[in-house]
Amino acid sequence: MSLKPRIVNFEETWGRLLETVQSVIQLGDIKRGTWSDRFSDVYALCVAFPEPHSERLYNVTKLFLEEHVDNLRKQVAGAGESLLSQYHRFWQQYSKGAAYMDQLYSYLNQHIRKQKMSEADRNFGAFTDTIEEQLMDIGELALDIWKRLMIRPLDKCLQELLLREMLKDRAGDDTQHTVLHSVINSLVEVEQYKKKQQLKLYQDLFEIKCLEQTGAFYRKESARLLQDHDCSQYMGKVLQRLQEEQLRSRKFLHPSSYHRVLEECQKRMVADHMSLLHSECRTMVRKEQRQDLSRMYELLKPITSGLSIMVEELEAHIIDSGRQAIAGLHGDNIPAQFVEAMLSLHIKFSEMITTVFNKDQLFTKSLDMACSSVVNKKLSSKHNSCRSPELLARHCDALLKKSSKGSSESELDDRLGQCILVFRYIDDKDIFQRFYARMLAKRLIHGLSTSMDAEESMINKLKQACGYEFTNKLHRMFTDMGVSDDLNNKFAKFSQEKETDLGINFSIYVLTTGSWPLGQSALTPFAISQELEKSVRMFEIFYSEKFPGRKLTWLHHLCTGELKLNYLKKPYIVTTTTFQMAVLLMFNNQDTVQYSELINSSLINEKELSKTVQSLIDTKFIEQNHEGPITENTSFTLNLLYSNKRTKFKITTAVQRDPPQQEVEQTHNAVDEDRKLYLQAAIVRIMKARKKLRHNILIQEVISQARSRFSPSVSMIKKCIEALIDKQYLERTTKADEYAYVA
Amino acid sequence: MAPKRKRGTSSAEDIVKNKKSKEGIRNYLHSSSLTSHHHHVSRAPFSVKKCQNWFREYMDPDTDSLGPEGMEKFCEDIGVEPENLVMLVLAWMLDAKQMGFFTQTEWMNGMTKLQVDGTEKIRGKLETLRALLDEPATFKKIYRYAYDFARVNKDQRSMDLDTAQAMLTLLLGRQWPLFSQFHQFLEKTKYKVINKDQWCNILEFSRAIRPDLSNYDEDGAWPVMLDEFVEWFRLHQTGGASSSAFT
Repeated sequence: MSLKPRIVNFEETWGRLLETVQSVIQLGDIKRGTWSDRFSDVYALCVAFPEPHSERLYNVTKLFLEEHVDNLRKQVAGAGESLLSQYHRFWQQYSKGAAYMDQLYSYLNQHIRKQKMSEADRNFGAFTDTIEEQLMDIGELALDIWKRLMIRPLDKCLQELLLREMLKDRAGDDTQHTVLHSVINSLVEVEQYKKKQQLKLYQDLFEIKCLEQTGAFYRKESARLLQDHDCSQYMGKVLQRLQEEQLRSRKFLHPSSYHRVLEECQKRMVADHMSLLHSECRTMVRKEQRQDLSRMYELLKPITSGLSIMVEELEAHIIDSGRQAIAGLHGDNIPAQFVEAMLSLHIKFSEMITTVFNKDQLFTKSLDMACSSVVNKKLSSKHNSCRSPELLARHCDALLKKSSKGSSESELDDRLGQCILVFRYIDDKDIFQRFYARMLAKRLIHGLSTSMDAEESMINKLKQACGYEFTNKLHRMFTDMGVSDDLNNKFAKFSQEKETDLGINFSIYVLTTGSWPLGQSALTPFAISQELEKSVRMFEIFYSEKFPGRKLTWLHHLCTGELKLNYLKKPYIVTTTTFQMAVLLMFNNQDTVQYSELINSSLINEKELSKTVQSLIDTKFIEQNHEGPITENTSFTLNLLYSNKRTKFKITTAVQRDPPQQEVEQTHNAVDEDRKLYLQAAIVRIMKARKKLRHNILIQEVISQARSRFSPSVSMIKKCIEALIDKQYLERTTKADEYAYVA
Repeated sequence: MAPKRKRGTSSAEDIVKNKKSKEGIRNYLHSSSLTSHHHHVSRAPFSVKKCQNWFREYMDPDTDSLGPEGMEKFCEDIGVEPENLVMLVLAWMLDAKQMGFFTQTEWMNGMTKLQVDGTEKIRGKLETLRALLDEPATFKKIYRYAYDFARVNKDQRSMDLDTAQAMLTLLLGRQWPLFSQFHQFLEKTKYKVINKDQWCNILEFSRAIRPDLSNYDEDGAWPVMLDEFVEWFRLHQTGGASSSAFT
C-alpha cells in the first residue's frame, strides 16, 4: 500500500473501522492482518486528499464511545445488588479496550497532538481555556467519556456502596476484595492522562467520605474498648486495630491514602486519649512494665510531641533509681561501688531503651541527662562540690595500682573503658583531673603502676574524651618517666667513663616542674647522707653538662632507698624513704643515737623527723629508751632482735600517705584557683574580641567555653568579672548591665 | 582630676571631660553668686594676695600645707563641723587628694575658681555648695570622688571597711531607705575592704532599686556583694516577719 495521500471514501472506511472498533472495545478477537489494515485506514483517513477526514473521524469515534458507555451504564444502573461487580466487569473490559483503541488510533493521536502544538504556537503566552473543547488522544477521550457518562451519573450510588462494603469488611464480613479494589482504583485510573490533580476525583468522590467514616467508626470503637479494658489491654487492641487498618488500606485503597487512613485511626484511638495514656505512663515507667511501655511507645511515636511526657517520666525514674543506688553506698571501697552502680544503671536503662524504645534518640538523650544529673548531684545545697570526680579518680587509681588480685589486660582495659563512660557524665572534669594527676604521680614515682601500657591507654582514653589540653600534663608526667629511664642509662655510662664507683645503685626520676602536682611546701632542709653524697654530686655534674642552664631541685621526701640489713639473724632488704634511711644509717656506727644528734646531722625539720622516727619505732626497727614524748635528749637504740617473716619488704607506706581529708581539701582549693584563672582568661579573651558585651551574653559565652572542663557558677563568673574590673581590664559602660574591654 | 588610673592610660579625653564638667559647675556658681552678691558683705573683688595670706593663717609651716590642726581651725572659723558633707563638696571643688589636708596649690586653684579669698566670702558660698548635693549628676561625681579622697592607704586600690562605712553613712545615710540594713549587712559579712566598682554600684543600686527590692534582677550585673545583700535582706526580712508572727 502507498503512504501517499489519496482520495478516501469516508463512509465506507469508517464502516469497516467501526466494526473492528466495536470488537476492540469489548476485547474481541482480532486478527493481526485486520488490525494492520484498520491501522492503515486510520492513517488514510487522516491524510486523505483533498481534505483530511481526521476531525470527522474523531467525532464519529467519540459518538460511538458515548453511545457504548451510555449503554453500559444502563446495564450497571439496573444491576441492583450486583452493581459494583457489574461496574467492575465493564470497567476491566473498557479500560483495556480503551488502551487498545488508543494504539489503533495512534496516527490520529499524533495528528491531534501536532495540531495542538501549532495552536499553542499561535496562542503563544495565552491560555487556551476559551477553546470550547480540547481535542484529546483517543485513550484519554475514552476515559473521559467513562467519567462523564458512567461515574458522574452514578457517583452517589457508587460512593454509598463502596463505603458500605468497607464497613462490612471492618465488621469482619466477607467482601469482594478484587471488585472493591478495582472500583476504587478506577477513580484514579480514569484520570491517568491528566497532568494535574490526578487524584482529585478519587479524593472528592471517595477518600474524604471514607476518612470521615473511618474516624467515626474508631471514635466509637475506642470508647467501647476503653469501657471494657484497662489501659494495657486497650493499647494491645489499638495496636491490633491499627495493623488491621493498614492491611485494609493496602487491600482496597490507592497508596496515597495509606498514611491518611492510618493518621485518622491514630488520631481517634491515640491522640484523642492522650491524657489517659499519659496518666498511666508514670506507673508503667516506675514499675518498668516493658510490654506496656513498648506498646505505648509504638502508639505515641507517630503523634507530634506525643513522647515528651514518657521521656520526662523515664528521665525522672532513672534519676531516682540512680540517686537511690548512690545514696545506699556504704562500707569499704565506695569508689568501686560508685562506678559499679553508675554502670549498672547505665547498662540497665540503655538495654531498656534499645529493646523497649527502639533505641529512640529522645530516650537515649534522656538517659544521658539523667546519668549526668545523678553523677553531678551536689552533696547538699551548702556543699558546692560533688564527690563523683574524686570517687571516679580513686577507682581508676585502684584499678591501675599493683594489687594481689591480678586481672587480665583486656579485663583491665574494659574496666578503664567503663570509667570513661562515667567520666563523660561528670561536669567537674577539672576536679577529676586534679585527683587523677595526684594519684598518677604517686603511682609513677613510687612504682606502683600495674602496667605502663595500661597507664598510657587510660591517658589516651581521657584525651579522646576531653581533648589534648586536658591530658597535657598527664602526658608530660608519663613521658618524664621514659626520659628518666634513658637518663639513668646515660648516667651509668657517664660514671663508668669517669671511672667513679658510686658505691651504690642509683637511679633518679627527673620531673618537669609544673607538670607534676607536687607541692614544694613539703620541702624540708636535708643534709644528705654521706653514702649518697657522691652519687648526687656526680649526677648534678652529669645533668648540668647535658642540659646547661637547667636547675635541679631534689625532692627527697619522695625518694626511697633500699637498705640491706646485715646486723640481724638473717639479712633483710628493706625499702625505706630517704629520711628513714638517713636515720637508720646513723646507727651504722653506734647502737644508740640521741634525737639531738639526728637533728644536727640530718637537718630535717621537726615535723618530718618526728614522723620518720615514729615510723621506725612503729615498725620496731628502733626503740625509744624512755617512755614519753620525744625531746632532744631522747635516745633510741637499734633493735638487734628484729625479725620478719619476709626478707624483702617496704616500710615507706606509713610515711608517704597523706592524711586523706587534707588531700581532698588541697585538691579542691587548687581546682578553685585554677578555675578562677581559667574564667578570667576566658572573660578577657571574649571581651577582647567583642569589645562591648551585655552581662548576660558574657555569662553565657563563658559558661559555654568552660563547659568541657566544669560548669561554673554564675556568682563565680561575676566575681571574676569584678576582679577584672578592679584590675582595670574591664569597665562598666554607662548602659546598665554592660561591660567594655579596656585596651 | 580623674582618680589616678593604675594602668597609666589616663586618656586626654577623660581630662577634657572632667574640665568641662568643672567649668559647668563654676558657671553655675557664678550665676548663683550673682544674686547673693548684693546681700552679703563681700563686695571687694577677688585678690590672689589676700587668698594666699588667708591660706597662711591655717598652714602648717613644716609641710607647707594645711593639715588636721589647720583644718579644725578653718572649720571653726567658717562655722562648719568637719564631718559636715559640705566639707566634702569643698574638698571636691578644691580637688583635694587627701582627706584632712589641703595643699597650697589645691587651695589657690580651688579658691580662685570659687572667687573666694576670705572667711566671710566662703561663708556666703556654703549654701551654694550644699545645693550641689541635690543635683543627682553632681552628687554622683562627688560620691565617686569621695572614694579616692577618703582612702587612707593610697597604695592599695581598695578601701577598708571602716572608712567605707563612715563615708557611706555620710553620703547615703539619709537618702537611702535601705541604708541601715545595708550597714548592718556589711557589719556581718566577711568583707574587709570595698573596691571601687562595689563603691560605685552601691550608689547605683540605691538609686535604681526600690526599697522593697521588687525591681531587683538577680540575673543582672550587680556586684556579688549586692546580690548577697539582697539574699541576706530577704532572709532577714522573712525570718524577722515569721518570728514576730510567732511572738
